[in-house]
Amino acid sequence: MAEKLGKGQISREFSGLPLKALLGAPLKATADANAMLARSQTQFMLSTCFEKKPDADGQERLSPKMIQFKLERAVINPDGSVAKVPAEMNFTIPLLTLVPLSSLAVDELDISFEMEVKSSTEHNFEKAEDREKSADGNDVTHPYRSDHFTCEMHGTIAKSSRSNQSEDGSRSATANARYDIKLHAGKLPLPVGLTTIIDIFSKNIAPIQLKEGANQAEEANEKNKEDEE
Amino acid sequence: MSFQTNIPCPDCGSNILIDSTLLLSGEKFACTNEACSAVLSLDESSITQVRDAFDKYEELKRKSQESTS
Repeated sequence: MAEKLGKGQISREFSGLPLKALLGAPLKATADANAMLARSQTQFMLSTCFEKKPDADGQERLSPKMIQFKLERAVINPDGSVAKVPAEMNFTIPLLTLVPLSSLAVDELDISFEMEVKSSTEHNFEKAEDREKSADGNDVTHPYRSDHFTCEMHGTIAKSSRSNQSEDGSRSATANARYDIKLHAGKLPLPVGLTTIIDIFSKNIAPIQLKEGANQAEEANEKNKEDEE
Repeated sequence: MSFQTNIPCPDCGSNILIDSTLLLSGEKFACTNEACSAVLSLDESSITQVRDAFDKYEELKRKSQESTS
């Protein structure tokens, strides 16, 4: 049986495709996965990097968990030599600054969609008598007879429209078309609020150096308190 | 499974690269600024707290990879 599939017919075959579902469903699944990741990260951040502490009003508030580091610095003696024992100091930083929270996100999504429009026909010449024989052969209590078993072969023959077109264009069995669609979902940066908090935490790691004037002011404040007492 | 992170040097502000596994094993990390002699390490009192956080982070990472694959 010969069939003819022209370019117009191929496009009509694709016109009924539910592209919205084909492309939208994976994208929505990815967005859902990203939302789930964001929620998991938030839960992780709040439960692991923060702890509930009562404030002055007695209400519980989330405070960052602090961890302690040791810092060693080389000391140069007045004569220019390096001291054998380095200067040590302890400082605390929020646990949040150590955990790389921004690296968990779906950053790429590729969808490859391939469709083959194929016209095939099937001719079945099976007789009722053959079916009965086949059924008999399935009964294990019957004596074995090799001629009662049948063999079936199924297959399709696909012909490319390019190689099979004759001059009159009358014979063409199959036609192929391929759609490649690539969607890219970029990695979302951390929210500005969280970045600001981490920046503030990071900047506060540096020790505060008091100026001479500030010391004098503190001494003056202490003196005033003593006078008041 | 370890991961890398960094914190600013308290002395000069440059980055100090930190490996999570080495940090928990008590390793010391030097500042990337050659002119700065600062070396830092995690205090023993915080090792358990950090290990717990890193374990939870790895679990979160594994679960997210399973859900997106």
